[in-house]
Amino acid sequence: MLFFPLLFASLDAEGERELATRLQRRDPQALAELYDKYGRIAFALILRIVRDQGIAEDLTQETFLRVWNRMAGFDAERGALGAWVLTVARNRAIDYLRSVDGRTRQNAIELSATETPAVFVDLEANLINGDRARQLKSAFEKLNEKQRMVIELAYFEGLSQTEMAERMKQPLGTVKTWVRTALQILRSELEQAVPV
Amino acid sequence: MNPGDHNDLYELYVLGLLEEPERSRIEEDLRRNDPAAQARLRRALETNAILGTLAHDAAPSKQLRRRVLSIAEPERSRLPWNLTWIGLSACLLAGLIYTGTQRQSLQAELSAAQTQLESRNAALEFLRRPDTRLLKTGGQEPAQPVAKVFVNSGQGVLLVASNLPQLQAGRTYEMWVVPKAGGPRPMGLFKPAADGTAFHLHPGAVNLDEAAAVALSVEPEGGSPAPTTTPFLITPVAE
Repeated sequence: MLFFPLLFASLDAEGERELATRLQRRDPQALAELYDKYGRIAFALILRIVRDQGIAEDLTQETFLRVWNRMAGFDAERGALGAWVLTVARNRAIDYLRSVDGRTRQNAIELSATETPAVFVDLEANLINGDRARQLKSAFEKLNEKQRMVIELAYFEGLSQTEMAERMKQPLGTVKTWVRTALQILRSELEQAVPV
Repeated sequence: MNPGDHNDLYELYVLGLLEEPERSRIEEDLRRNDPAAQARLRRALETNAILGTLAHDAAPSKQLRRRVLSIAEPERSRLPWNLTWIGLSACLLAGLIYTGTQRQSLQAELSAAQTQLESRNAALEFLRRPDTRLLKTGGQEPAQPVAKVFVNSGQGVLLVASNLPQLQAGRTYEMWVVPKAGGPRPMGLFKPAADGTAFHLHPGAVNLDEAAAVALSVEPEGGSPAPTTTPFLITPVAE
């Protein structure tokens, strides 16, 4: 699998703080800078999920609208803008898939609960372009085919484990094992990258 | 259950894969602001965000940048070159400009409606929370500005005001949390409706132990880092 190239220059924590502060002050130029830094990667993620250029652009705009409207709740001192933008982007895309597929499942969690700006504190400021991202990409390569597939089905298609089992024609218990093992491998690699 | 199992659950939760009863248990821990739960959630969110970078590179159209920037359009001043270009091209492109204006106007209306809906939803979500409490404001005189201020240490500050004087052009109201020590902290900008009512939510954690009051002031468009006019509607933060 080809990985998303690192398109953006390194953002230091001070730069992120300054950008977040200007966004909170409703500086339109700051929105332009936010888009220039994270717009392409957010769009690529959404496109990977919805597989339609026009819909991906609509959802990318919606992503930035949501971020713009919720900046007041973001902690400019300790927050990680990139991680928040990508989370909002993924949630918008998965919500879209669920709505068009009629897949609003009984067990599907309300994804917006995981994108509250206040929780994106004390994360690595340059998370998506930093060492941990490179480490995770490398770890992803180490997963076997089934493990990679379940992570992709969960992350990029928003499938539940039951839906994955049906799609892959495998017992639910087997799918759950693949998911947990894959997550453990990814976590283990990340912990080696940055001791916690 | 070992710590690794706990981490598994939060990763599954963030991915949208966690089922009952574990999901409710995690949500309960998060509602209680359990520090260990918050830390696990943050780590899971990190992993989740990084997974997003696994997507293949793809370039959006150039129009998308303009569409995204239109979100801030009402706060953006028009560029001089734009006027020049329009002047030179007016005759040939009148039809296109008309169409474009219509589209931009609809886009702006849509953005404004979405903004308003999100703002109202956030306020309702805030009011629904059992730990949100109502403070009493000082201004009770008829026709004077009055406000009710709701605070929630984990969720933010909500101001519901009426009888607010209309603002001059280029001015806005700014809400402040005045700490017991140090300067006021900005809590966002807003403008009242035509009837003088306002509904302003500043989401996010607020340290109520260190807060003495919530207040308003009139500031230049775009806000100020500290009040430049005398604050009013000062509402004490008392237990």
